[in-house]
Amino acid sequence: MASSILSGLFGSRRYTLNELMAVDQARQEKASRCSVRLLDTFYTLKDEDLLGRIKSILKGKKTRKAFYITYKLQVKSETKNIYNVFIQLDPDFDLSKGGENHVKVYCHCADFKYRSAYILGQRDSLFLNGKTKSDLGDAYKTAGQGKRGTTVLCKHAFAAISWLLQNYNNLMRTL
Amino acid sequence: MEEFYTKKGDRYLVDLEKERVYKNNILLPSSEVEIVYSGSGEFVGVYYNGANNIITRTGNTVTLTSEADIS
Repeated sequence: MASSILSGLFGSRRYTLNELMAVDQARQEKASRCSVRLLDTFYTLKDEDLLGRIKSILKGKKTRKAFYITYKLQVKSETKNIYNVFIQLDPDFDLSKGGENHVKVYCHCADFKYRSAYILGQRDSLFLNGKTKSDLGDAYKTAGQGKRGTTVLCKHAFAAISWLLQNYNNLMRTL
Repeated sequence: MEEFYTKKGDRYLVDLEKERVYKNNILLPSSEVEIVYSGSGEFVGVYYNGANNIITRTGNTVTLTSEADIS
């Protein structure tokens, strides 16, 4: 009971895969003309976030580490440009809930850098490590201006997320 | 209680309530292993501190990477 109240109060603000797929029809159209290939999969353990720590304490359990998977995908656009996209998620073994997965995303294209990074960062959905922070510079701390600020994802990231949703069951079964 | 087998045939039994891990019916020291959950709280597998590996709930072994090394 207390745990569910806390979830309501401190629930993740992070975008889900379904939310990201629903936000921009025009991008989806462009993304459908991209080809996607899985390059690598990384497995990471991180300390529980604040909500997780509180839940553990309430359940009388020791605090623990949480497991995340990061997929590195190569996306080729119709203009033959190639970009790498990173998508980090919590594995959810309930295959019907793949779209509810809270994710962090990164693409190294300029569109993502100047239009998407800030918006995603506001919802803790931007995948940041030393390398991506360095590539983004101050872009993820600065809101886009006018129309430039309206796109949550570039077409490459859209294509990568779409691929992930289509292949979610297989990816989870082989984990 | 979670039960799974590795490809080598080892049987893991994980008592989530008591936070204990048994491999082939032998209790593993808590200093060596840790039960791993996803960020959403689902059971993922067993973490071996020394080997920096996770034996997942499907019996696969995955090697961990520091987030800083993802590139």
